[in-house]
Amino acid sequence: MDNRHIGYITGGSLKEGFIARLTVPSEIVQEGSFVVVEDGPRVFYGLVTNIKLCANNERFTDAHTMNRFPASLRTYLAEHTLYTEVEIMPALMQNIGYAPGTPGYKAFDKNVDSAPLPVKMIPPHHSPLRAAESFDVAAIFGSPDDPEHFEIGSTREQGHPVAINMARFVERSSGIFGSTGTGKSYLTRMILAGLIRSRQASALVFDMHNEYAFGTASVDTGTGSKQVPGLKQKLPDRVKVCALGRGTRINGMVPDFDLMIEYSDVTPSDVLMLTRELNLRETTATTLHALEKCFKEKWLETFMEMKPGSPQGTVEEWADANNINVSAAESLQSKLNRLYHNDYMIGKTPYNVVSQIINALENGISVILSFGKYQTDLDYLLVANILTRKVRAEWEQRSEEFFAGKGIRPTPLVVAIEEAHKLLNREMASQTAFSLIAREMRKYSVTLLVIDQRPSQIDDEIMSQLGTRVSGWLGDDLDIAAVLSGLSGKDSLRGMLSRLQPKQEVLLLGYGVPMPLPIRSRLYDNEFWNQLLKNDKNAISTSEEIPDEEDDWLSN
Amino acid sequence: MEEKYSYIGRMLSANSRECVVSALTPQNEIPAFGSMLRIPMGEGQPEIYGVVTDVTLEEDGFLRQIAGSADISEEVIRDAQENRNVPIVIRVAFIGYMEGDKVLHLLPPRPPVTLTEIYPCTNRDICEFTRKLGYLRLLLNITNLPAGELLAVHLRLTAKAHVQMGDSDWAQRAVEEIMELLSGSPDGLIAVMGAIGDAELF
Repeated sequence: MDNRHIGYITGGSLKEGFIARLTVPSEIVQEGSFVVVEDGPRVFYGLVTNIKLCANNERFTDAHTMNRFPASLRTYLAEHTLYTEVEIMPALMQNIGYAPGTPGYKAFDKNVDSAPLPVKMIPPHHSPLRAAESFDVAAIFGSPDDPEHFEIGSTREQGHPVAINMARFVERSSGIFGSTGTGKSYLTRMILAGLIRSRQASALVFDMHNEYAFGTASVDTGTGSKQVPGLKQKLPDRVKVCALGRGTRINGMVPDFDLMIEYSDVTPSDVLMLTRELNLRETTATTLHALEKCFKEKWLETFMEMKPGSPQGTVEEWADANNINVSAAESLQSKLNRLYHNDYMIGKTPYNVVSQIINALENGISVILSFGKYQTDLDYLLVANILTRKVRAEWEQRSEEFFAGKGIRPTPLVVAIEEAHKLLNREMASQTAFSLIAREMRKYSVTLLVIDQRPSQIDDEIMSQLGTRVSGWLGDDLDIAAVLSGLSGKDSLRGMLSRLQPKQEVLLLGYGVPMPLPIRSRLYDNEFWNQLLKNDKNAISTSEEIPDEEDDWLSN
Repeated sequence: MEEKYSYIGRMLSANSRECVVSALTPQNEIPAFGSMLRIPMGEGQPEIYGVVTDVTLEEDGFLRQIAGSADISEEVIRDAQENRNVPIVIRVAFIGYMEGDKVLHLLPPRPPVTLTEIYPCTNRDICEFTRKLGYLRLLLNITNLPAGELLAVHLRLTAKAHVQMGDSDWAQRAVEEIMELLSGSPDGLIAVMGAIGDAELF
């Protein structure tokens, strides 16, 4: 063993993980440390999942016994009789061969697969253990210098950069979780920046709180003078900003286009999705079905214009003619007023904004839909669902054409939704356009990026479909269980997740990362943008004021 | 200048583990408990090393008479202590041997023959033989006296020789070796460490 080694293997099994005895003080290793076990031509990569204080005999743990000895002797005695054991969850193994000049170098079969593999064997007793070096991290997670990779953070102890493969990240739906104040929004902003920069996909971002496009003042500093830049400011040629409603300004800035919703865009299922917000009755579905049957896509406008003396007649007349309960129909009309009279609802839009959004996305330009002053759940649920349904249908059609040998494969699309539990909870999951994306749209190159603080509120089936999960600290056991659902080794990961630092530490899990790893996420600061935009002609240089380091990691 | 010693006695009896020596020295020059002795066995033969584990001063009839007298002069007492050759018997436990320059921390293949001369070890002998610490295993296996007491005194004497020869870390290494050897016996380790603690090695 050399001085890089921190211990050696003393036992373990494939099922329960490896056990190693530390030869360094216990404080050198933390739960979640990325460690490497060396076994001749192969290495095993794993995570420390438990740290245990042990003694050769219980008597040596008794301070009274130890205090009988002189201080110097006590130190030596403690070093020899008391020790620390770590449990390691093996994640991957790799055949790395022998170094040139070493005895095994010539005999090693150069044709052995040197890619990281699932662990199918265990290292022998006394195999040395060491903390992962930067080259180990790069061997597993990829190089941050690779354009396909994005540096999301660094290992907690040694600070080695950790990258995620954005191409793999967008292959399946993914989620960013964390309790309030853990920095989800900043992390999301960075991941979206990495995604846009990598050109692996376009992103359609539903920005409920108007913070992704033009940035916001740092809420923690309270001064309002320290602006955190948004994606549009840093990547102007790759991001379009769409604002809900005519003439809406987002943080005082003019968007690229305004989004208006036509009455005919609203379907009965959109209304049913708003059952809670509109306090709808059980009879609503029947009424809506009859309305759609009578008036097709013009059902909403026609229904809402029903009044005495109007060409449509009254609600009572229509209800009687269609065998619908009159009071139920009148009640529905009253409740739909809140939706119908929204400023952003219109009979006919002067130009097709949805097509513009789709064209932008298809051309690799990401679109951020800011909700401006429309901050209610009703606005968010209705608009996000309608727009997503239209975009999804477009991608589905283009993909089908591609599969049929016509046209080109559509650009991969990531739909990012904040407060995802509002759209993907158990009652609504089956009614929204998003659940279908999570379940079935991977083949059509559309995936979700779910951002939420209460993952336990999201439908189990949706959660199980999330490939990559990035989670900050979560306090609730149910939320932790939800984030870990469907993953192997969740018992070991549960403790790791619950003991993350409340800020800046996140756990990477799932499909998009080769192995689980707790990391210290990057700061959203000038350095982040400078590094990201290096050699990028289409981005603007960093000039906006960004908070000092201690203020950077802000909660949201 | 290298220390030179003449032999201190001759061997009376031996077995594979230890021997009994009749000392020739005056009482005030008896080898100390825990000190090292060497037993050269002749040309081409190994040189056995041992540690003093017991010293017995035996009486004779004349001493008994003196001790029983009511009035003994200081002169008589000093004469008996300094000049009279009372039988002194030293028990020496074997801790290894040397074959040429090679140190072997094993019991000797055969015991020395009777009346073999016994020599005290110089600092150089001690340091050469104890540079490696395997012989401590043999000391710990001695059962007819408290191992802790023997080890404490032996380490104190041997560490002093190492310090004089420029190795001040030897005592620490020796204590660590003892801890390792006794790691499976917590009671034994605590007893031995108690004695070593009193030896004030550090």
